[in-house]
Amino acid sequence: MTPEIGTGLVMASLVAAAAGSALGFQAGARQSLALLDASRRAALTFAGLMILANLVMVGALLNHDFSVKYVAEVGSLTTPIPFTIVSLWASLDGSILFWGGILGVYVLVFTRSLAHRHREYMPWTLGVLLATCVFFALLVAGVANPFERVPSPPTDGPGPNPLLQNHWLMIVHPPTLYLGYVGMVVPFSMICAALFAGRLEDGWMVPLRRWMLVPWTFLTIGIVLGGWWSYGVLGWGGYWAWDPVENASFHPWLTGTAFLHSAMVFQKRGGLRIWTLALGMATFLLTLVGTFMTRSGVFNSVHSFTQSPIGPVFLAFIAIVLLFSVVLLATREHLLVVEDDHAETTTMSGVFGFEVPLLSREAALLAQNALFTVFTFTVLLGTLYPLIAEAVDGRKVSLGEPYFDRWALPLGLLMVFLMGIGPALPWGRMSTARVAPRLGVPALMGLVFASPFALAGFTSPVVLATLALCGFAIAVHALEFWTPWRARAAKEGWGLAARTVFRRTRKRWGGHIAHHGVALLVITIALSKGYKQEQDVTLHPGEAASIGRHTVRYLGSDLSEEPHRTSVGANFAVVDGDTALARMRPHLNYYPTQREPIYTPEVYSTVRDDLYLSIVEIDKDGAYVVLRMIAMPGMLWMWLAGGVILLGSLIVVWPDARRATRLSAPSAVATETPA
Amino acid sequence: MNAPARRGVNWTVLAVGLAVTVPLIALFAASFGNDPRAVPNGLVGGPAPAFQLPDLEGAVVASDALRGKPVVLNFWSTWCGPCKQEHGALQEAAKRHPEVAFFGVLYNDEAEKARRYLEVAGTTYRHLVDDDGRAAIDFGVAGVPETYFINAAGDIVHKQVGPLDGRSIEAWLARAGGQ
Amino acid sequence: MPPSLARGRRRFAGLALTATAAIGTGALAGGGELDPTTAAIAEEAATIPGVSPGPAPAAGEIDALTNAITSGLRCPVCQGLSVADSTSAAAVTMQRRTRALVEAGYRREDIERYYVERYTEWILLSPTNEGLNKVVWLGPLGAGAVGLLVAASFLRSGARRADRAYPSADAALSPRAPAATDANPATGAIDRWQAAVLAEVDDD
Repeated sequence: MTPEIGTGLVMASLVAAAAGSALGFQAGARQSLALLDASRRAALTFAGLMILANLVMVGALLNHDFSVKYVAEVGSLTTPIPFTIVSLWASLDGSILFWGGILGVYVLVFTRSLAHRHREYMPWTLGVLLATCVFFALLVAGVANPFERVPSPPTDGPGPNPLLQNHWLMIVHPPTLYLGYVGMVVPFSMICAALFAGRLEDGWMVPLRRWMLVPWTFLTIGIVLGGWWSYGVLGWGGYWAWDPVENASFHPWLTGTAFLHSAMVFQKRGGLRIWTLALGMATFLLTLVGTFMTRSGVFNSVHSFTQSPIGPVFLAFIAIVLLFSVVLLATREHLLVVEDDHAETTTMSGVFGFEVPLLSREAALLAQNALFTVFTFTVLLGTLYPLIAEAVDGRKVSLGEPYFDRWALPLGLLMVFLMGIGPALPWGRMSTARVAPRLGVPALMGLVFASPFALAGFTSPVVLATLALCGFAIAVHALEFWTPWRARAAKEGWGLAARTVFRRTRKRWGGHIAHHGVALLVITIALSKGYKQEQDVTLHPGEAASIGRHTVRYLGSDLSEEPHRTSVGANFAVVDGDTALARMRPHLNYYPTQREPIYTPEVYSTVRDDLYLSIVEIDKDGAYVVLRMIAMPGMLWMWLAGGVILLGSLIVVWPDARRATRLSAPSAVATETPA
Repeated sequence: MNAPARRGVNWTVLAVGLAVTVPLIALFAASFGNDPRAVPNGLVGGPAPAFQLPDLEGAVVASDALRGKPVVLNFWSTWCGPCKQEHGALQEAAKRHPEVAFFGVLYNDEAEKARRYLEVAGTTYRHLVDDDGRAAIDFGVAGVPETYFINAAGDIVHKQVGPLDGRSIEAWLARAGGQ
Repeated sequence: MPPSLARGRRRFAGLALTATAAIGTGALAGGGELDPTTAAIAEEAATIPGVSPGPAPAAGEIDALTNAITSGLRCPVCQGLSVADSTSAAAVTMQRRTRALVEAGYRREDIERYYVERYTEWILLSPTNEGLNKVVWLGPLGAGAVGLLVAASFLRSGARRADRAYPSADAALSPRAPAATDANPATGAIDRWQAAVLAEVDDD
């Protein structure tokens, strides 16, 4: 029965999405609340059905119902339960169903959270949002139906791709990234709605920014987790290889980040209007392009599933959405009615909508936007160039780490520089005399921050410059906490002052914390790239080898049998003189479906650095092992930086307990101050 | 509530938008047939690199001494499934074409394992051991099985990536000057 | 289950083994044999035909130079990884060959050309700045120039209007600002800061 139930649910969700989309557009055109309500119900129905279809598939996987095509493809009686659930996104058809499920979750949360507000915008938003749902429901129901009935079900299946079963991060990394990718459709729909409605007020910009920040946060964390997975699983001792699909996730991250910043300029100064809208739309479009890169088989990548009929269908969808976006923006943008208080600045503005003094927050944000756009263009060009070269003159070319690093280094340094300068500058014009101390103190702190690293032997000028710039940025953001806190603490004590300041400016704090996370991330990238040490050694049992400050002794090999795999390990003791500090067991996992074993590295993390062991070759009797030893400073902090960014974003996104907590006027302080 | 009744198109936005999106779509559409995993070889059509390799018994074979007759070099290993799949067809072809010098070249594998495999599977030509992988790199090998068809003048006529069957061997041998 | 753990990943120096075997068995009958000594094969291994090596680099530079070259070469059997990063058999073989060539005194350009002749420019992870490839080297520079120009045009339009009424952050931060009239210096500081916050958009 499962194949029929599943297919039925998907079909029903397709109908619900199509109806809801049509109702939404109608509701927008006729300004009808009744139609809006109907559209909203259809949206919730779609969400429910799609989520249910996913649960049915998970149930089928857990029950090993091999009459379902997808279960027969990726299921196996011996796969452990967590990885059986993960199989949902282990292969193409399932991952598209899962995509639909996430879409359902977003539709559900979005529709419910903005239930009865924004009546001018909601109909159009639902119309566009559900139209994309129609496409994904069509994909699941048609080209990629995972619920298809297998005429003669096998008694057991091959199990999911071994690479996906090999690490716990595979349970978290894909859903996080999916939540980032899929969620971008929400801000996209909201922007389309503004264009359809012909208006864009602060009342809509606020939820728009928030709904960009939610998937952006998932995307950021997904990218960091992806790096962690690559580091922990692929065995080459790196976390980012500028693989086409890694780049594909980086593009929308760059434009999404640019949007979050240019939206501030738009809200504050009424400028960069087309630009901000275009960035928001581009972010969604780039997630589609990224998905195409992952799924079409046009790119060679760790992630690409084999060539499939989904490619052309998906490309057609991308083409439609791209052209729709361009035409919508070109025909509707100038009709937008914006907030009245921007009118003044808008009328006195130059061709680009507003004027910018050199030393101002808006100038920094403008530079940030230009920089992120150039970065996006560079990475996109580098990713696509092999296709261009092959299409134009039939040559095969490669672009990898050496190419991208060359651009990422200067662009990244500029990014950190702006990240420090921006918050130190106020909006509007300001005299140089006032700006100097705001930048001078943090600049000094940047130097102070870098100097212990220099003394500890990190003497590369590029690394030191990065550290100093990061220290500068961290100091600027930290001073934004510190100054008001100290000022208040004089009167009401440190504890109370912290609470008051935090409560009053929570979102700013969140932003500063997230920026601290980014600075920390850049620091770890600089250290790990600049001071990675590696060597290959051949060891016989009892022999020891050192790298950096670590020494390991080879103890011998062992073999362990698990139901779904066989693992051959090389055992090492991390030693300091005669004391054993830790045991490490890099190993080879043999899966019955795969001829070649999966080489699984092992990492020994310390606060200072990681020791990374990866087997190059191991003798079957354990007589010797050829081992790649890598020492990388600061890696533990890289994953921590992801957590800091997450924390900051959560603080910003967290719903307000009561809307009235924002600062109303300076005088409010006086009335609340204890006498 | 209603937008102002202005109509029109922002042609700049339209032009820039289309200039970015249309080539992108066209590029993707044009790339569908590509094989992103194929590794190109720059030697095909030109002279084959010289080599000097011991066979499984230790006797050394040098390319100089082979000049004047077509050569087929088949890079293979015992851990490669498709290599075993084409093994029979290659043995047959070597028997049919005594005028062509067939050689297997063992790639990233141990001579002992190859010997054991060939005892069972049988062989009609000699197998060379490329233990340091030098010949493979000299020929631009990217994986196994790969087969080079070299004509009597010593030029590489064709590089076959992936397993061969009897018919394709005949076709490429004809191009390399076999009878 | 694992019958051969080293499958596809051999990296043991094969030279010694091969050479011993060659001495042990000697020449057999058949076409095309030579009877070289161990030295002949070993010496042969570190040459690029038609290119003469320069002076051998100092022992301390060999590692760095080898790594610099292999980091720029694409591993033929991996997915976008460099020869230096990969631990696959093919990559390890190439690492060894590169090192041998470096030790023999070949320059970086010679060694890269050697690989490009065989694997075409596909093997270079950073393309040359020739022909169509100029696109990826000039493109980002062009984009940067456009970005600078656009940003600068904003600034220029600001400079021309410097005399116009414009929200000034100085006002909010100046001691004359209304909030700062408080006698308590601490309150003055916090109020100035708060005024600055208000001068910015506290969007939501």
